[in-house]
Amino acid sequence: MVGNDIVDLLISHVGESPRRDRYLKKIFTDEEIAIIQSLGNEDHWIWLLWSIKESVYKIIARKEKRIRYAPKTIQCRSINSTLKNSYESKVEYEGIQFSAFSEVKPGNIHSIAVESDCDAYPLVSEIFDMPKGVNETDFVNNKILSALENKLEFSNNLSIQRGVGRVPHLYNGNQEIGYLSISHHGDYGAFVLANILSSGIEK
Amino acid sequence: MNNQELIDKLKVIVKPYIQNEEAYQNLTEATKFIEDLKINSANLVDVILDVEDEFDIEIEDEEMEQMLDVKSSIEIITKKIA
Repeated sequence: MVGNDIVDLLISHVGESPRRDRYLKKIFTDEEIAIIQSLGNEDHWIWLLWSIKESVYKIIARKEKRIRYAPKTIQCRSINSTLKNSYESKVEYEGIQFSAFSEVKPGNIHSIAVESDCDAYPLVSEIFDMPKGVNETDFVNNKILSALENKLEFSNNLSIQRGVGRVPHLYNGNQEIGYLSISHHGDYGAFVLANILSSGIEK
Repeated sequence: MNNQELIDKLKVIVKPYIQNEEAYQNLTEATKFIEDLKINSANLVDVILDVEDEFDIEIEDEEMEQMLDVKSSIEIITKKIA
């Protein structure tokens, strides 16, 4: 399975301390707060960690078929910079290991997560601008479907349906294909599609 | 404080973070923060912090996990301020 999360940095605020400290303690473990501090403690590191955890959460929500708001159960264990502005991280949730790959840009941070011992492979990924004043779900769906129609060999009747917790499922006709993850925040939208040939039905 | 008073206070607290005005106008005990009001998950923390400040209480992690809709939030706040 695959998950992704985009953070629009322009609209992401934690406020000043003491609220900032309270905010961090609600969503991060002590270990994660130490990682943020070791990186320099600037706010964009908060959103990098958050984006990593949220991208993993997308996988968990798909597996568990429920909304769970327990950010500290998803624990980022390490972050390494692989390329300039790119980060690879190890994340754990209830004994399951995940890897996340993040890119930090001037306006946004985007993370893609996969289960570590799973064969999920992100095949198509795109970040796009979200116009204001549109129906967000319709816009995002159309954007993704037109992007995929150009890329997939067999796309003739693609559709996106939302399950529990608004988890998206991609269908070709009535056959579910791959694992689709969608994220939008502020001026940005993003999606990732993995394992196009697998049924998309949880094993 | 009765339930309606609590709901009214909660309604003021969530207002800056909602992204679905129609669901907000029709807010009831059954209203869900993420699915109905479309509150972003990062902003849900702001709601929790604002609830703590408004009612002078501390929300534990396990309680925060339950606070996904108006009804369960009211139950937790009621228990805490009793």
